[in-house]
Amino acid sequence: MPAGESFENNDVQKWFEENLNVKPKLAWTTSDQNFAFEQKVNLLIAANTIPDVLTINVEPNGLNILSKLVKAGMVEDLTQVYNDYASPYLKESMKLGGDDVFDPVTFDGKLYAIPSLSDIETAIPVVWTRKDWLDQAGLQEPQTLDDVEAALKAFKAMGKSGQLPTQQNIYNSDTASFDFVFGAYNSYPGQWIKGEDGSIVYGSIQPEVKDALARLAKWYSEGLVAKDFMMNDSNKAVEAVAKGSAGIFDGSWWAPWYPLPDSVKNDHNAVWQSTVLKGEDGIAHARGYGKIRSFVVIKKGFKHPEAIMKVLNVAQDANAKKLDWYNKLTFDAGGKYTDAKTGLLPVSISAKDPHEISNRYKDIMAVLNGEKDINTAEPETQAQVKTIQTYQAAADPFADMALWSGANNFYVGAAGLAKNPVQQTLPAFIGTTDLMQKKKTTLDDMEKQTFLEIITGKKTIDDFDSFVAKWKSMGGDEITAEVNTIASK
Amino acid sequence: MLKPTRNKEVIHYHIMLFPVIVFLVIFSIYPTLGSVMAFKSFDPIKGIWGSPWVGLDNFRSLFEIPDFKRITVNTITISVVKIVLNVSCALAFALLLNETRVRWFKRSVQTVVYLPFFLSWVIMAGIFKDFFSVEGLINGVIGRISGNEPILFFTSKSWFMIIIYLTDVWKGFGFNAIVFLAALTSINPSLYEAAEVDGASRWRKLTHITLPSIRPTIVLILILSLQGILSGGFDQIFNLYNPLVYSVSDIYDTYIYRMGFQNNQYEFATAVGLFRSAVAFIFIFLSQWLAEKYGDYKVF
Repeated sequence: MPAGESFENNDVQKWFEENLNVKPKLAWTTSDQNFAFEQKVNLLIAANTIPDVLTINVEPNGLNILSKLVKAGMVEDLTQVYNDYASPYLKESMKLGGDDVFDPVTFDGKLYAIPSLSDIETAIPVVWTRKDWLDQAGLQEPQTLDDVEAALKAFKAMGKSGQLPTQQNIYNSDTASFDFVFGAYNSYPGQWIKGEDGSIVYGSIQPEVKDALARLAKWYSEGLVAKDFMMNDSNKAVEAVAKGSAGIFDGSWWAPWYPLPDSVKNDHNAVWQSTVLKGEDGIAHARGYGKIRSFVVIKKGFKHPEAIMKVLNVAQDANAKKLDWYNKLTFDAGGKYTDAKTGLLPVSISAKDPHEISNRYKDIMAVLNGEKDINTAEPETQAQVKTIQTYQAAADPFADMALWSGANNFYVGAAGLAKNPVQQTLPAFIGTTDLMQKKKTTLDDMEKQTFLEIITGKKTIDDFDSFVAKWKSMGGDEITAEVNTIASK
Repeated sequence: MLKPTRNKEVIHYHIMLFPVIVFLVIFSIYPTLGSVMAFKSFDPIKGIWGSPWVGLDNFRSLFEIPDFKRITVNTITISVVKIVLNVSCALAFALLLNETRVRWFKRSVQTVVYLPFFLSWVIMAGIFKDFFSVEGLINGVIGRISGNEPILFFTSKSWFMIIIYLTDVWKGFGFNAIVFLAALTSINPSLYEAAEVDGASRWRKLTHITLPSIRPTIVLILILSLQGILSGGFDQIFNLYNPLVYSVSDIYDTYIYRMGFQNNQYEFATAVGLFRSAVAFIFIFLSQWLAEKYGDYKVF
């Protein structure tokens, strides 16, 4: 960000002030580790001093926080505001999430929050590998877990790190987790999914998890995973990528924004490619997100909720790349804020097709391959194509790293989503229940402990079965029944 | 009881003490009234005073936690061991340092030893995690000397507790040591000279003069440490632990912190705080009574 400017003082903010008479004041920020944001929001709720406008993520317990806010009467009823002031484009886009998209944020028939739709494909764990090293080792891009093993061993033989960067949160994390391994075995730990008999079951106790854990235990004993990985947070885990010693890691399609730029800046020869692995049954299974990713609430008593709604309308247009002035500042090559580390919209919402990313990728490639005329494409496609073309024409591809990230995001990152047809399993239930408040902490502790002990070899894989039995008897069955009751209402 | 001094000269002591008393009332005593939240069902809009009473429900929730026994045992064990280690190490160190004759050495060691006390655990945890990691300094040295596999300090239940105790003592013993050193310097040297004349050995001097003379100070330090009897040290453990060592290092505060992800219940946390304060109060009262009876120690 240019010197002297900040979130509150920049050209984007000036536009909102001039055109909508809205001036945001940043109340506070928190770290992105250890759920610091959610902790702070909970504290403020208890002190009855929430900011005027709050954006809350659904994971890990956003819907819980919302029900607390509604019960305490701390947030505005937005039914009328949405009906009267939401733009037609926003209303149309919301429908992409299905008819029931507003259900989780509706209480007693009233709408209390404006949701952002999940781009569920962002949840897909992607395996990133260095093509230049694979070429050196004479290997193809890995398609299965066995290929990943082979690549790791080859990298070790080449004198690089033969270990997979891993962080302490081994599932449901976007970088350096084992999500891709669990996915390869069609298992979904930590999520409530639809079981074979149609009822909702807890992913962590399903037999497929056992197979995934067995493979991870094998990797750990062979040294393919750092012996003390459970002490790493996500940033520490990917240091090896930036340092140039890791040639393979688990990430998301947006890795060209983080952590790849550090790797490429330090080593111009690093060529990264992405793919979603084929599972043990040949199909690329992957986890997904719930329908809504986050939502915006407005404090009760705020005098002009319709002003916020108007900002959200603009945000929706901005995120769909329909606003030229916004694109020029924040997206186009050389834009004043293209490499800004934070979003600059005062408040943001995004309602796009859940499969926006892979559809957009196909659209972009169609234009680049000449099958489609750029002028007939949607604004987002046009903007992305322009960025890619600018990058490809640049004399020094590494001079502007924001351009590098922007171009490679779809060109390489999203490409990985299209290589193998991905079959996602979405959670059937999100949120917490009364029984979960009493008993889930102990169950989660037991699960984390057992999984880590199995992976590190302190327990054998057969201990998984006794874990499942204990989980069920210590309250797991009760909670499962409660979840099914709530979901069937 | 001493008769209150009418001497006008004493008034300036009261004036000096006054700001501290105000600070104490505002930040320690007044907030304690909020403990009444432990007996209520908290509603942020109604505030603490307007929320409805629920009697002992919150305390019942505490005792019904499946892991209650384990976290209680851990908390008590950890805090008792920490108190014993902190006091004994500080005492031993003070006794040793007191023997040195070179003043500049004594002063500088005193300062250096006290410094870690001021560092935050967030920083220290980061440093220790690096220090004791698989590729860290300690394992590097071990590897050079013995050529064995690196020790996983943080995932082994026994090594982890050793690290907890070791780093806690390293960080905290400076405080107690300084208090002991001050007490040691106030011992009348003529006592030692008389003992020398009587032919007492160094050890006898220690056990018959030094230790009895600073007995009140030792008791004071012990009583001060007891207020942390059910604390265990959240900052340190939270920043260093991981699920593999929950069973030995999980204390009240860390468990309740994790419960917060299911739902933040402030009234529940207050009930736990009140419970711990009650237990600590009993301990302090008991030990103070014992100290008066057997330790020549008087507060008033």
